[in-house]
Amino acid sequence: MNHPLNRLDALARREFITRMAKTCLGVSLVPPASLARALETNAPKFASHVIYLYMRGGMSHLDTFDTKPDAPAGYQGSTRTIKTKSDDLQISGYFPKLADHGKKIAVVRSMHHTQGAHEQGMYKVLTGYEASTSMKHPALGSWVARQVTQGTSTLPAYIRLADLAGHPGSGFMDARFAPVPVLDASKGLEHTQLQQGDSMTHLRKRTGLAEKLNSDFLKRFPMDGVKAHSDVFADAIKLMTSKDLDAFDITQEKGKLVSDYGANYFGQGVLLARRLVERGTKFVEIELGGWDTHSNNFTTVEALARVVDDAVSTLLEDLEACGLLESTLVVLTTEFGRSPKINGSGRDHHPIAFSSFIAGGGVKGGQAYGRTDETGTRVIENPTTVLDFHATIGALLGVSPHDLIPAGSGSFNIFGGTGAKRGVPIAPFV
Amino acid sequence: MHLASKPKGDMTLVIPDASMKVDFEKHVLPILERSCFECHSGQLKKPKGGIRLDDLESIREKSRSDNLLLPHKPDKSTLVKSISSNKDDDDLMPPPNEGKPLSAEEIALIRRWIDEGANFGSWTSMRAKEVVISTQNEVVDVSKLQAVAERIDELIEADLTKHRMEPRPLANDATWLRRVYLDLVGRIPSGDETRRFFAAKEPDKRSRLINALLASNGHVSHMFNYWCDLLRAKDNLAEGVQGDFYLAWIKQSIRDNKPFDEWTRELLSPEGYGWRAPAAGYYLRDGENRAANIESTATLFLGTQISCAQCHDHPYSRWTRKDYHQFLAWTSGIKTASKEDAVGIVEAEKIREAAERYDRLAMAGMSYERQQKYERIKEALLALQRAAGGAGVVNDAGSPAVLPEDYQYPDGKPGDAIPAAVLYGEPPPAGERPAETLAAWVTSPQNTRFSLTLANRLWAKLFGLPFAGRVDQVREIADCESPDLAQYLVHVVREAKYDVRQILRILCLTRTYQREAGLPPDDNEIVYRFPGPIVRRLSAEQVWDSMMALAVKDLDVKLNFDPPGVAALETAVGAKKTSDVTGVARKMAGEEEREMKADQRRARLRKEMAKEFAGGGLERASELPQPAPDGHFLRMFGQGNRDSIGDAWSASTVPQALLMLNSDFFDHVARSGSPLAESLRGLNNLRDVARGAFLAVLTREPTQKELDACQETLGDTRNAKALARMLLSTAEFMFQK
Repeated sequence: MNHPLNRLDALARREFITRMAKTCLGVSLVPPASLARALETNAPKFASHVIYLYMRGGMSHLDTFDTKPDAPAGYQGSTRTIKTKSDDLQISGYFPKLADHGKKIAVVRSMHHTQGAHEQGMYKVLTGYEASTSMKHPALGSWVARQVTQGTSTLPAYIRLADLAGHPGSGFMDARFAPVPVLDASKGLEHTQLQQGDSMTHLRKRTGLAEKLNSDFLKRFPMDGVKAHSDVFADAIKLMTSKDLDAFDITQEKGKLVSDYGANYFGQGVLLARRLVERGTKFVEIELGGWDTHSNNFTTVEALARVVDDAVSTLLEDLEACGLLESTLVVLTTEFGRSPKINGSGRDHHPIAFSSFIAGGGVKGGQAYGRTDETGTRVIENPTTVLDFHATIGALLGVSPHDLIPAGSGSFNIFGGTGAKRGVPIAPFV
Repeated sequence: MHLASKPKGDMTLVIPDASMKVDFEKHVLPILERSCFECHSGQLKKPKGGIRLDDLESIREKSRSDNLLLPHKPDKSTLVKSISSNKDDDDLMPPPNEGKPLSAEEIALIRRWIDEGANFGSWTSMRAKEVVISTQNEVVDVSKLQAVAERIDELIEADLTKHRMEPRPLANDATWLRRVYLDLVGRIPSGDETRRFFAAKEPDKRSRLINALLASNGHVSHMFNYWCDLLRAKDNLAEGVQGDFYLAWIKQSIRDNKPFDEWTRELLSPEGYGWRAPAAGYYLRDGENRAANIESTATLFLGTQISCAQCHDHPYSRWTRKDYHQFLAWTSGIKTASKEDAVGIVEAEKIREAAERYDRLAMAGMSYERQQKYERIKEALLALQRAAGGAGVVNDAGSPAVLPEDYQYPDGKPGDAIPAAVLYGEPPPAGERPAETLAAWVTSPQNTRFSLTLANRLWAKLFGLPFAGRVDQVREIADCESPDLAQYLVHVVREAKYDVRQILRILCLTRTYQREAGLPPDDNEIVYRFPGPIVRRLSAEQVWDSMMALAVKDLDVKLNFDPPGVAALETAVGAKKTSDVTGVARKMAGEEEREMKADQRRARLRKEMAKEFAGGGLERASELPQPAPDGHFLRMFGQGNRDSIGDAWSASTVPQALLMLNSDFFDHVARSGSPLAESLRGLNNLRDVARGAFLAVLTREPTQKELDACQETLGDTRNAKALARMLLSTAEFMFQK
């Protein structure tokens, strides 16, 4: 559907941003100067897609985007710091290719929360909230699928290139906004072709009858889960008849590009993400596992960083070449950082300070926001909560802060709703 | 509206002087009771905003999710924010005209109490203070099954009456039958089983069926899935550590209905290597990570989560960091290792020589088949050696545990030696091996939480929701919604001597279990009082096993729960000479060859193996790889990857729908000769076809309206299989009611 924003002129947009800043900041202030300036110089064109790269296991911030070359012995280890194309951003020497894209990348070095276990940390970072038994919160991707209303596609709005174990899914939202898992990027979505001997007419007859039975069952047991069961069949049929399905056919890409992304699951997944975004998927989530470096931190991080470096630098170039960089946010995050003090050959869980980044999608790149102390242990400047990070993404996507969904005791949106913990967009990024 | 307590207007505020700490019960509680409970107590069906202030567990839950109350941080606590809002602010609590507003002194007092750490003292809930547990000293005779079941119903119904609610009507035979099959054997009943039950005339046919199901192989298979999800049990327990003996031991323990306390003791205090100590898998699962292991012990057997306290005092629970490390100290005598020095009395060196001989033979360039054969014998020899030693644990006195190097509280210094201590209750008498002492303390009949945690889990399994708080965070008896019921069920567990089947039997015999199912409570309705079970989606294994029941005749009859290869291992270990060991190895290699050939035959039969069968064929989930590989039907429908406790999921996804619509999976299920195909064979009018398909898939007859719909939609298409396939994609199949 057409988002009202698309019809707004520059002035109306400005008003909208002002209103959003008010709502997000929770105070009746004029928006930060940078926000206002952004509006005057060039009316913002909002991003409409997100490629979300999740570093599973807890990515060491000291060895990636918050290096500490001056830390006392026992902290930085063998990781080097290098310059990037931006004078205001230095990153770890494990990312030589990303360094060339330094001007596109906006790093947050002051992410923090208090969940030190993987499952809880992942829940926190994906949803912005602590896991609770009374309410299941939607993952960021579900918010984007629900609240970014630009563009239409028969492809699922939210695709996750991994299974759903431990994933909050669409939380209290409708299952239509839940991630559709694709387990093998090279095979794509399976079972999208009719079986031999079947026909669309027959299939529709069968599903029509099933739908009759389902609506009786739903009348007796009006539960979200029962409704979701019907919804996914309707979506499945829509998808089967869509031409967008060829997104999954990576063989349509040039061989050189395919290999530049990296001949590994992550690299190929990132390439697939670009193809999906091109055809209208709003949020693609990809995981790179192995970051739980309690031992052999440095060799492991070096190897993982190479995978990220190849895939993400190629992605940024590729998006730029396709003209998709302005409309696509590339987000990289993780459940928590790792203890700056080296323990044996590894680092342990460290939720009170970690790094994430946003690139593309109109974000003001080439900078780092927030600061940790000299060892990278604690945040000492501009602390950023997960909801602040999500609010920044929401602002870059032009999501209306007034689009609220009631659940439990409150009203929610991508910014964290109206509760006391709602996020504030990082002004220098927007 | 029934109120917890009448608002008290004439309360006098007591303010402790500065030398004293604010006492929650004496100073703070009366204010909450007067001004807040009218809207925020468990006595209301829907407490406003889902916030209850009359119950510590609920306060903690809201503190975790919404910063209701943060110790030492009054400014960040939403409770303080809302009582001290401006008059014209919507957030002000209590809202104007609803409860007496708090005075400035009262607000200051609450702030001070939070500032001092928000200590609740011994208070856990309003209920706990007032409650008289009528079942406290009740004598339970578990041999009188029916009487015990009826007593449970009485307690449930009394609680419903007290809250002006009605139990739901009894479910009909068809609904009950499908439910009890899914709950006890993890699959729907076959057409034959359904017809047999409908035809039976005995008045006690339900209890007979419960007994038969509990004694069946299907029950072992189903409970195996249930426990594997909780124990995070899998084929590869850790790097290089196989789980086969552990998994087989879990199955056997269920098959032999090993009492749960005994089972727990074996898990918590194992000793030895390889197949002689299969329960060691519990520790091997976490490698050297004892912390992960003790957290799992607390969650699974004591119903409490302690993981936050590994690094700091638990913000939302009573555990301190010191508690955590003292509890962890019980595992200080456990060391995991592996042993590969010998097979019984035959020296390791001799085995290696024999293996090398076969390796040379394999290399000698004979026919491909021979080469393969020698290769297999060599592998079998090495496998024997590994398995006979294998991974295991040493369980001894260990060395004293110490506080971690970043210990930050004044009651101890980093590196201080700390004695093992239990989380609550009486310290157990010291033994030689800490793990053994821990096991004895956890499973002691005096340890109420152990019994309550088990009762809570089994209850949740059958009724769809727990009765004593969350399954992983169990309330104290006095804090449960119905303390009478909680106490009674604890008696049942103890008197049944932790016999899990007996407990399930009693619960299945209750009227409550036989009632119609209803909706789970919504977000604001915190309390469920069990007017009957709740409707829920089937687990991945229940969906799969139900399909298998349609696909394979006598699915459960052929199940065999003996551990793999133990007989061969026993012979090898008893061998006196290398040649005897080699004999065993040759036999193993022969069996393996036969199995491979059978596999190839099966694969040829099915042409290309569909991905959703990868790693196995048409068998019960319990007989497939644990967990099933990514992309398998089971994983698509929510089988967990066994990384965290109970990580199975249950939601509808588009890929599931696509699979049901377009995969050839169904053709395998309904292949000729399958029970499903058999039950539909030879029917040639639509009415019979529909009845057959409904009975096979949904365990009931179609209604007239449904028959008409089938007639209208399918017209004269009499394709029975298409109809069955359609029914498998309905919500009614996918949900249990």
